[in-house]
Amino acid sequence: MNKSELKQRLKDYSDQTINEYTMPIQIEKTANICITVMRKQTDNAAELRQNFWGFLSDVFHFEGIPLLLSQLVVFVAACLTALASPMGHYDLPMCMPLFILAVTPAFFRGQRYRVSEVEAATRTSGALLTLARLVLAGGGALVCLTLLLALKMYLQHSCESLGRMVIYCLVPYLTCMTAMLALIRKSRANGAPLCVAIAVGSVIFWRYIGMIFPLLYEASALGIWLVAVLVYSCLLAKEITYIIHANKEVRMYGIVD
Amino acid sequence: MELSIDRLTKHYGHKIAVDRVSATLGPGVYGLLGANGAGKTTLMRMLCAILEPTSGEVRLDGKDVVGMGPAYRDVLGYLPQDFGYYPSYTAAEFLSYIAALKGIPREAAGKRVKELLGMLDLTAVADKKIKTFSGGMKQRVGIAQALLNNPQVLILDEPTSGLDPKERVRLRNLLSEYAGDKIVILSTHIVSDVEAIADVVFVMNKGQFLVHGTVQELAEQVRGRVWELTVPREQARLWQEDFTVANYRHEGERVVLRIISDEKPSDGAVPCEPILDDAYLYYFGAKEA
Repeated sequence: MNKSELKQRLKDYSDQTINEYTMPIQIEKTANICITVMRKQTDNAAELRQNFWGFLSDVFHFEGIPLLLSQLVVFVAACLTALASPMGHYDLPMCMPLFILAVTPAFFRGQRYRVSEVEAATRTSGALLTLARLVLAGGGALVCLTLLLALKMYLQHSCESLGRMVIYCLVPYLTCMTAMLALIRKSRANGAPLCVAIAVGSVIFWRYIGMIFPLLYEASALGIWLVAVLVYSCLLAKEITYIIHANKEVRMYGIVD
Repeated sequence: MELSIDRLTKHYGHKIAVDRVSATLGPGVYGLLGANGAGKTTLMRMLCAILEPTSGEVRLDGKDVVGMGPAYRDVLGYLPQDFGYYPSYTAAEFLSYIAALKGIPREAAGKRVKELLGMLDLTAVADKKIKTFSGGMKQRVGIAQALLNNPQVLILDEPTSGLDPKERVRLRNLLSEYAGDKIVILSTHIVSDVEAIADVVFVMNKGQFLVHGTVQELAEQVRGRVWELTVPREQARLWQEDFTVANYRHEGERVVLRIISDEKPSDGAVPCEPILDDAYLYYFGAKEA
């Protein structure tokens, strides 16, 4: 129904009232039409709400730059590490948890500044916000990892170990990312410090495991790494699936009581 | 529009924060009055569907609010008691950020942010960082973010805390004007706030609604229990130890006490007109003492 038709209906209603010739059925009909129009207007207002990509663009606008800059700092540090030991296998895996450490403040900032309650009461309900941050952080890390591997291959003048290096880097990254998402899901009040501890602990672990147990980086040990990649990919996929479901069902996600 | 609360309960281990609370709310302003720890904030969080109840449910027009998902969040505005903000954001940036989370497109959000900054007298400081604001200004930013999506259900937890008297009056007027056909629920322990704007007041204690009604109805409930008694100054302390004293006024060498008591405290006591403060003290002062 367009505006003029609605106007006519309202005029008819008004005429009926003025002429004191009210017909209850007609009035009810008019009222129902008005209710339908009002509901349609409400629906249209709901349609104005943004889709995920619009939302992602907004999150990038507000959080993207600091999030990517912090990853850039880690990227530079990882480049310097790679340059220091061009032939080493465990310098890059050691740096991967630092990418999680760099994005930890962004993921936990709602908790830190007590904004998570306000954020949770919006239509994003916390889960979509985490998903958007995950896309940005994951995207940034992926670009950094690609460039780091390219640098490594350049330094080694060979692409022979590319596959192995990818796997060596993915395991610590996936481990820390999964741990961080699990901490957010469990809504622990000390989630952020725990996440930092896990990331720092991982750096130390991957630094010394390479020195103490160099056989772990031998070609024959590749099976262990592949299993680890598979296991942590599944766990990460599980966390992401949980976030997607939490968002769809508007379940509470990541709110500290 | 109708928001119904059906036997809503929340347990934290063995502690019962909210205990089988039920109510049906139509358009209007509702005041939730209770002492600290009465369960107001827990109830508010459950009404906003950000805290899962142990049992019971909240329904908007017959639909479970958790099941409604984003449709409920689209009509909800919420100001938490412990309102936080990102210190690096300006007021305008913070409101734009929350507007983005509420799914409001940028252009519409820009207009709404401007409108709300004006409405809450924040236009002059729109580009200043929130961390430089006074408590009252921060609270106004909190109220503005709750109003961004023009909510049909507005839930404000202690909205007047940190506001000076002028700002409190301003907020009251704003809420009264805003309410119209909307549901506005505000919790507070400041009796005068609910007295001024609430159509219906719920008095909450130990996770339950003790009593509810209009301000007049609640005041009526303590009619015959409010007394005025004039005593010598040196006796005033003794009376305060034995009775709930709502007011203490000096008149020369004597003191006029406003006493809340089921029984006439003394032959010299005269009954007086009850107000909401008396009802509040009757439920919290007398029963908890």
